[in-house]
Amino acid sequence: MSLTPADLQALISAFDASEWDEMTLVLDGANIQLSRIGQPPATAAGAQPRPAPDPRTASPSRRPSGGAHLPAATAAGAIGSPADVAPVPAVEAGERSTELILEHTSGVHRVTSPSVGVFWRAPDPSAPPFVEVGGRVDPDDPVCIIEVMKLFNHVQAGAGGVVRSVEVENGAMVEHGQTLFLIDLDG
Amino acid sequence: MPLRRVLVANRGEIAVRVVRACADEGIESVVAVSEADRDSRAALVADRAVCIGPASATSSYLDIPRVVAAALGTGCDAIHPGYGFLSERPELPEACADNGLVFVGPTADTIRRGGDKAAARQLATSLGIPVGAGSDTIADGVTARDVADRVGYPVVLKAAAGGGGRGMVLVESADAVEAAFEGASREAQAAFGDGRMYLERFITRARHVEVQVLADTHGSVVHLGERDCSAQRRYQKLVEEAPATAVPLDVRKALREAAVELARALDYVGAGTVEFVVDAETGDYAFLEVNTRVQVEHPVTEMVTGIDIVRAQLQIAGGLPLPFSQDDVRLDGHAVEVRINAEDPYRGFAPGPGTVSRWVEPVGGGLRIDTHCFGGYRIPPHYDSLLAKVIAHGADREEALRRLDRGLRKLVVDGVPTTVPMLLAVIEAPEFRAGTHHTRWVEQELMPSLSAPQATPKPAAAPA
Repeated sequence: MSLTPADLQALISAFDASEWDEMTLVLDGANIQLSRIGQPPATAAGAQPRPAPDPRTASPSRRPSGGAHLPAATAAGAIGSPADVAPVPAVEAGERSTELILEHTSGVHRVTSPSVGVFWRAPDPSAPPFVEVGGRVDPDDPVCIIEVMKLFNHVQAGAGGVVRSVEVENGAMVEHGQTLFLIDLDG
Repeated sequence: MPLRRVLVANRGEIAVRVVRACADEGIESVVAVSEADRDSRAALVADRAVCIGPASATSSYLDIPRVVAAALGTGCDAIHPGYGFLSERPELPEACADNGLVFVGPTADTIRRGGDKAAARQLATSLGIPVGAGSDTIADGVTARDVADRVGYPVVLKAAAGGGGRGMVLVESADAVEAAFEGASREAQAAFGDGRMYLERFITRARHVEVQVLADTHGSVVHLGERDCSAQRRYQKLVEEAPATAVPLDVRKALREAAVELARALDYVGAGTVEFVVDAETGDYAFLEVNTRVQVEHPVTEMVTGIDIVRAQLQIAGGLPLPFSQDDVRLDGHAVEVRINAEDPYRGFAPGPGTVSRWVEPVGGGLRIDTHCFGGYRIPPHYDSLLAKVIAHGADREEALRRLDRGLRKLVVDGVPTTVPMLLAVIEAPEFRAGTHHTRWVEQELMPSLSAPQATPKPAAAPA
């Protein structure tokens, strides 16, 4: 099965409504951990014994995926959605934080934006998109363009696999480090 | 048209300062951050933050296309550059104009004419404003000696392509000029790819005095008095104060008038500073340069005038006229600022990035702290080490210094080294108290006399 952002949103809502402190889900190679304490669950790494990362490093790999369909976690609270500025996605003081960890080492590769800019799925408006959900990509395949003031930077897949999802609307502004695509890795 | 939403193209304390001014003006603020500043105070206090690139400034804060793309992508109508980074790059106002954005600052043309040292020097001369006694570019050692004999020793040889204290050689007497010229020119050629030198009479006891000006788009140019920034180390300002009470009032008045005249000649718009050097012994002064941006030390002027310079920048950029005239500008009392850096003054001022484990600001009348620090803040290693500016205002210099001294002693910074012990030594030194210090005093006289850490005043870290 594949998880859509809406699925993840539903999972988080269910978790938020629950009394649980943490939740770990292993689904088809994706390892999803939710925690209220702002730290990855200490025991969750069971299958992959790795030191728990410091949540304050706020590395892109532990941000809510960039489509911003997910509630913002504390560390990412001020980094807004690509939408208009008015609905500032601030986290209310004292609100319980929900940290989503999508373990990309377990079969999912995130393609992130190398820069702030505008996300374009096709080489020009009349052309078909570089890639579609369900399509296969090789590591060197271009998957999109990030435009920075008329400079058009091609972004490569970076890993071979099948495109699981496109996380950003065509033509939207993206930030540096924002997730653009999820790719199910080969093998 | 008044601004609605401003992109803050900077980081650190000045980004926080601009966000504050935007809030006061009822303007939305978007801070452009690098990957390393995602969780910075500026990002948290702004209406929004946008990550524009990696930690490296060349791919983030210094990248004009990314900054402009961030402004356009977030619906901003203006960009405030702060100081440093892109603030004096004429390409930024040009890129703004090309994309329908307002640049909070003067035009590209003004930045070019004010920023080119030779051009600015010529403009000052044409207005009858004194420039340092000396020469245009010198061809050889013999000419250097002729010029030096004429202006009198000591002289300083400066690389035409140098700046910020680099490429300067001090020459004390006639027999050393020719050899010094040959060596310095060779070094300049190697360092800057440009061996052109010029020569100025060296002022042994120089004071650095600068005048703050504000100019709107309706032809109004006013000065907000001057600042004295003579306490420096390696040409970097440590302590700044307003007004420059150690300089005779008639000299200060001449500087203020010269600054306004120069700003008019540059068609200046926004906040700017005209820097001068004043000979502490003779009272002679000379124009140094124009800074076409808000300066680090602008708060001391705000404290004595009651005028918010950054808000004024935003109002001017929005096309509004200055809401006051020169006659309305009053100087009230005295203000002193110190710059606190995460550097260890006992280890050659080595920068100390790390985590600020505790940060507690002092309280007290007349105190102001401009900072981006907080307890738990991790100082990224990629940028400069300025942590905070502590500013104290008082009815007179005595009171301002007393408040500043107490403020510095009650500031708690744990986890990283700071320059606070050295700053306390500066403001407590008899020479500084008497106002007899000069731009080389800290290095030549104060620093050598500084003893080991335990013998030097340290900020009280314990609760009172």
